[in-house]
Amino acid sequence: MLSVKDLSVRFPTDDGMVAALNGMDLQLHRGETVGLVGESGSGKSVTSQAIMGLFKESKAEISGEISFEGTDLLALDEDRMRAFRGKKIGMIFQDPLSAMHPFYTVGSQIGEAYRVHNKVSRKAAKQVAIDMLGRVGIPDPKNRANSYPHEFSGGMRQRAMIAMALVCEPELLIADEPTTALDVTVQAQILDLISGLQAETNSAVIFVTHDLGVVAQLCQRVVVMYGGQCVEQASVRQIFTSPSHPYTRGLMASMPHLTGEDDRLTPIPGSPPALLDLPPGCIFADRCDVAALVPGNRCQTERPQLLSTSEHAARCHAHEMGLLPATIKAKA
Amino acid sequence: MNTPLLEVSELRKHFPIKGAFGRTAGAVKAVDSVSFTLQRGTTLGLVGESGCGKSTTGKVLMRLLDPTSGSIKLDGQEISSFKGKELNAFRRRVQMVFQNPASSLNPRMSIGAAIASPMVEQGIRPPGGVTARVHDLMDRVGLRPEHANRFPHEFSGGQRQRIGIARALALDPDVVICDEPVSALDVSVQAQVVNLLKDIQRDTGISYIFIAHDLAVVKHMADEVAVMYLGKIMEQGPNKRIFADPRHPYTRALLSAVPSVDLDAALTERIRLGGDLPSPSNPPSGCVFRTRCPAHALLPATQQSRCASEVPAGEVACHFPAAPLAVPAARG
Repeated sequence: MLSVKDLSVRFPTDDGMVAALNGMDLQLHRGETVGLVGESGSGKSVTSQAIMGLFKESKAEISGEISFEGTDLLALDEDRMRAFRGKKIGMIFQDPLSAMHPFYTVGSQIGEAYRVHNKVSRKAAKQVAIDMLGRVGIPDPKNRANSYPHEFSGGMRQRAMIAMALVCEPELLIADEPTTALDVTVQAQILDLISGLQAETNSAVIFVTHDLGVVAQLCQRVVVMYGGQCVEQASVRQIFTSPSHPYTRGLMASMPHLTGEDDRLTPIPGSPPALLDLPPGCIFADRCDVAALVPGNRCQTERPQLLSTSEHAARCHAHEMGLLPATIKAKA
Repeated sequence: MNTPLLEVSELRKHFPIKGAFGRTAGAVKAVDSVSFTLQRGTTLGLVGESGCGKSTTGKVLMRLLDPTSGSIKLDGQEISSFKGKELNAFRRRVQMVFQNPASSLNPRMSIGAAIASPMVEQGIRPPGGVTARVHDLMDRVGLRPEHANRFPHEFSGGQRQRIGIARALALDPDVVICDEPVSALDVSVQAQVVNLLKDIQRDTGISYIFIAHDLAVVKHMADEVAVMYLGKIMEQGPNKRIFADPRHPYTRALLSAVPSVDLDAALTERIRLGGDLPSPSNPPSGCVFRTRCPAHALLPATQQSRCASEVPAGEVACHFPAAPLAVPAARG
């Protein structure tokens, strides 16, 4: 349904070109939920914004391919992209307060999203908005549709945001850290809501997050990102039982758990790469504990490839050569 | 038993709400009757969702805010009424690490000067001189002493948090209040800082008040845990007991809301809280949690009236901790 191939996005800055994405690959099937996981600066949000075509009028240099149901999204001009945005692909942002217009009521903003793609009267659009607010679990939607964004709590605002993204019943929903700003108990409500609505509409979801716990709960497949690349992709079960990229393993070892006794965390040494000046070899090599096992400085000189044909793929020389130590100690 | 290092009882912090003509129209009860003790060399974790009063508690302990009522004893000495010189001397013993290292460091001050500033401010000349002490501290937190002349923007988020920790340690305090010290950091870096804080405690016997919303991090840091909701402590006890056998319905709901990475452990107990946090200026009578409590709805009317009229107290602040919880409402 959606296929992203070798996507690169570079932004010109005063200090030089920032390579935000360096050959990103992503495949998505209808009705599937894929988690896009990574730390800040790993390119998760840039990937989702590129799919939405949000860089069309910017100075960013984009290469590669994004095809959605056979249409090459990168080749579309802004006008034709607009027909896709909202209608076929919906997006939920992290901070609904800055994503919504403070001067318009929630109901009219949701109605507007509907009217852009459907020829209906304002009145009819408002009714659609009220129905949608009801579906996302806002009590008394008829009256709440007349409220302004600031009159909603954080969780309700995120519900309204979801209503806005889903009002045209898009085939693909991109959720960019939709629960990061929320408290856990509210996050749990929103996750339930998203998976419930997805089961109802059978749309595909790209869920961008830095939280592996959220991924385990919501997604079928995971794409782990680091330094603007997909470093590992696998089913949720595979990623948690046999992570095959040293970065994925490091991420899991550094995560505090609610269960188990092991109270010493194992951090990944160093910090994420500067995207201004990326090494020629593996981007993770300087923080990697298995790079030393690979002969001939290969990790420092040659960029590993992602064999995306297989179900479970990792962009790692050591993995490819079978040099990766057996799986990390399983945590209780 | 020894005198605890810090003993807080019946601490209250109410912020007045100004009505017409300067009259007081009410109060936001940010912290309402909070009591706990902190033993030397241990860590107390204060957890709760946003708006529960955990940060205000930290600020009152630091005397950045004056308590409305209640007592704070450091080594048996009442400090809540300290002023001027006494307060200054007290601040030598209690220091703070803030959430956002970018905004808590002066961008125009070299990090060496920032770390030295508490000593300069207090007029303390350590043996061997201030510079040597700064280098010691930087070494202690894993920064390279030769970087003392650099400025905050030259450091990554994790390194900046190390600078904040070095500054807090400069005066050899007895207690460091850490207000969400790792929540702005990526997981791999977060683990580095958590380990650093634990190592410092092991080596120096320092005590921490560790304020966080992330339960998993608190589980790794704290010896004792206090769970806050709407300005009150709902449950407190030893770390092991709280996480293995949570008794208060709120603690149970909070723990079950954390998305688990354990794929097979799912579906044991999923408690969903409905609705949003009530306003702290007009909290529910009796038990403040009763309006969202999953056990409350199932209680017979006589018991419900007790929840509404009587404020629960004790380690588990609940009248009926053994009551069954309501099954979560249907999805969607």
